[in-house]
Amino acid sequence: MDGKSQTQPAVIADDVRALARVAGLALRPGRVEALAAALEADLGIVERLRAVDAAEVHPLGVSPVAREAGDGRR
Amino acid sequence: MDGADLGYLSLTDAARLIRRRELSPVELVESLLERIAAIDGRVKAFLTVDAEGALAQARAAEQELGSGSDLGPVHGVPVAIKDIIDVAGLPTTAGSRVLAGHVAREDAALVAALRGAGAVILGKTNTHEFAYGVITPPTRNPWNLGRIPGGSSGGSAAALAAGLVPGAVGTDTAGSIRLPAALCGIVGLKPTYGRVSRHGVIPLSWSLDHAGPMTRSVADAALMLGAMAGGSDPRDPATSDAPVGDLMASLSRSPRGLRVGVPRRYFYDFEGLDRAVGDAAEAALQVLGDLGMDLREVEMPLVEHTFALGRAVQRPEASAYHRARLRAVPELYGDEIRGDLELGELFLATDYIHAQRVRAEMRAGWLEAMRDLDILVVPTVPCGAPEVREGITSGAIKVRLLHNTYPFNLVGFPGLSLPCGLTAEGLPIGMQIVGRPYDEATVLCAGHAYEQAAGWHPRRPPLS
Repeated sequence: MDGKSQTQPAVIADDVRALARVAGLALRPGRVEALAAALEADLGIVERLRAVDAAEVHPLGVSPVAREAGDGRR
Repeated sequence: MDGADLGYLSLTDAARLIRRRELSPVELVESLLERIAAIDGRVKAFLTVDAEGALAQARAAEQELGSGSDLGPVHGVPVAIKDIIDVAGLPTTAGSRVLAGHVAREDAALVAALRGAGAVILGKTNTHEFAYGVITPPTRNPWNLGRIPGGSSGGSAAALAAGLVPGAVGTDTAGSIRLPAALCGIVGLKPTYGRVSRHGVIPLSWSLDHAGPMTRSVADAALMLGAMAGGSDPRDPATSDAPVGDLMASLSRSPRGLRVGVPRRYFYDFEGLDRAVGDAAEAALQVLGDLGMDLREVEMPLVEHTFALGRAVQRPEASAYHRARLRAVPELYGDEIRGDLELGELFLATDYIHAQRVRAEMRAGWLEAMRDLDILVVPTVPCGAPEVREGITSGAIKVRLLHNTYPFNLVGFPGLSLPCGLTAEGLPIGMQIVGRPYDEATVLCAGHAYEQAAGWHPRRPPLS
């Protein structure tokens, strides 16, 4: 189980080309397929994370790690 | 003392002998330079050895002591700096062709702090390219030259294991201090996020990056962290004024009664955990119990999302830092890091922000779990050092190697790796002691007590 939706099509080379176009990133010839496979693998992991409810949590600005008083309590 | 004795002299002993004027810092530097010349051709721990500069600093340190001036706790003691950290006048290449020829104009904040405490900068140690990997080619593991040292601070760990320097600095984004420390049989301390300024340190991932000491004993790590921790630094907004305290004094505290959390799920029941590592960890827990510590099983919430969080945070943060150079000189990056950086450009901002929210939730849960605990203890790395193989990539091995270290970067808690055994092949095994934020003192207290009771740390690799 990679956590990815069964109905979701796999990432393909055209998807990577479109994302790279949006990012303004020139890709090496022959690299697109490898990136599609890597993105597909990462997406499987990230999709599980999307299912975690954190709607009430603020990301705490630039750093997600809150400053501490020194005793480990927030 | 002969060259090997000086090579393996502890940082605390070197500082004490120099202060008593029983050891000349010049003699120590000369001896280490001889060892580097004799050994480092095989280990390849150093990228830059500043022989002339180190000798000049050592002579100055000797003169200052002679005139009654004592700069601080590491006066005259040589240290090495990972090559993603700026040392004025020396190259900072990050182990990459991208920065070939780049020379730092000023010291990183932590280097300035070490110099202020009297340290002699011996040189720059090898790193996996831009600290984005776990192998550190071409550095080899002194315990077995056919094995990797780990990374990304592999040069610092290998230099210590080979007796080339008594202290070194590493950085740790997912385990890059603790992983090579474990694989090379030395001590590595990732302090609390924000404890040590990263000004002058090339970022990998801002919200995960830490800098800290690498040494051969827990006492040495305590001494070195005390010299590096400079309090709040406006140039690094993560830094804090939380007091560091007297870390050396913490070593003589009794560990009796310390409440030790043992998180079996994820850390101990990991399918990639080698039996030898599991056995060594259980033996270490037994030692902690014999020392009077109170062992309790504990559950760490959301830990199963560690690698999802890590990828969703680290990939885009790294790609953001490299954005301009990846477009200007993409051909100068190594293939693997170039692919990782390209991939990070394709992540959604909404996934990054969601990951930071889940991460904040995870951290809140861990602080709650730590409310009734002083430390956690887990194996540092699930296996011994992997073999050097043609075509080996970080991508193929990092999920296993970083499994038990990465969670503590996400929550920013301090983590100490120290030796706790050897595999059947004679490769080092490390255990990790983790504390509450800004409580490095308790981590070091427990680590020192274990180290003295278990006695693994004086072992040297079979490297002549």
